[in-house]
Amino acid sequence: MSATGDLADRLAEDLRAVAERRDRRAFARLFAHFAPRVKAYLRRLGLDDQQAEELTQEVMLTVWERAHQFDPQRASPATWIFTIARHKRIDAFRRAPRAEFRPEEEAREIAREEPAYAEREIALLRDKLAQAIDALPPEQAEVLRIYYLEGKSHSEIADALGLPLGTVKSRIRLALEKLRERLGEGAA
Amino acid sequence: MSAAVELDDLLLAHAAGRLPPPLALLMEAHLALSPGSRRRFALLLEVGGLLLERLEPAPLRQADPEALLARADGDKGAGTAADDPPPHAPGWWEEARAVLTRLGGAPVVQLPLALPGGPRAGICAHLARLAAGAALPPHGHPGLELTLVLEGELHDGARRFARGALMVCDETTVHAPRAGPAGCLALALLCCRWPLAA
Repeated sequence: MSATGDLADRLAEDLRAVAERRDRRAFARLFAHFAPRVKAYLRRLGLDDQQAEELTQEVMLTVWERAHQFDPQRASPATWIFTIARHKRIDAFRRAPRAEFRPEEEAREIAREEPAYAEREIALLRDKLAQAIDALPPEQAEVLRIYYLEGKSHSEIADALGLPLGTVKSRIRLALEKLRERLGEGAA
Repeated sequence: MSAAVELDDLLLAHAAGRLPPPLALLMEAHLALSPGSRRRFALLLEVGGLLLERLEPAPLRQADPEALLARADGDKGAGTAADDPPPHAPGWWEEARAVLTRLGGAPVVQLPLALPGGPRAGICAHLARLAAGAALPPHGHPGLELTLVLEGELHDGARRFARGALMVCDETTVHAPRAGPAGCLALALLCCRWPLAA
């Protein structure tokens, strides 16, 4: 098992301890690991230090309150927390009144019944994916990282890196094809 | 002719949290109905998690988790309840179906929907009910249009879209889709502004 896998397993164990026993020491470990990374993510998205700090604390509070919703069959701890941060950030931008119709909530319920991967499969996938990301050519990894974590559009990335728009798009596509190839998922 | 935007582009944009709310909602519905996309999406989300792991940590102003938990104990219960989305209105779907049925004599019925965040994102939505074998007249698209098949089948030339499938059209698409033998119910979102901000 790789270092990534070991770490993810320990963090998943901590999440379970929070969910089942309200274990504050386990939460402290999760906080120490994830809070600074979540804040770094939110800073990259363009939030100022104050906003990023507040939203990070909100994200970690959600982790404390919703730990029982974490399902290791569906995602690694980092992915689950990435998803929460992603939602919090979207929510922060639209504090408008909500309509009553929330099919995405139902959708999540349905999706929960049938995980996309089996439990061992997701652990294996995570390890292979971690290796595949580290093996990406640096120029592809850079574009992928900016797209995911800095909230920049394709053309903003092109401007920032001084590249043609087509190059940015093809680098993202190539990177994803490579990741899928490594996982034996097929490129199509 | 197929669109320049592909399903994978949309899955990626959704995984990275880049879609405006109405499109995010449509993608969630598509994911709920499509195991193939769910698998691809799970992978794209994992990429996000792994990239988050690799970020250089940013120093916190308040690095004591106990202070945060004290805050949580302080407003106990209230916080979670307020954060939870309100339950959706019961019966909205039956109402929509009833309207569609009342207008059901026509081969094609379109019911405009107001989705949260739609106007701001320049997105209009409608439910479309096509009778068995009914076709839309040939048409182009002023922007990106995503059509999720909810019931029945939609045929576009040689391509068939069953329940859960997402048809992606854009400015380059001219077509005249036709319902399958059992008719078709679909949710379509038209984006007048470019949602992927390419």
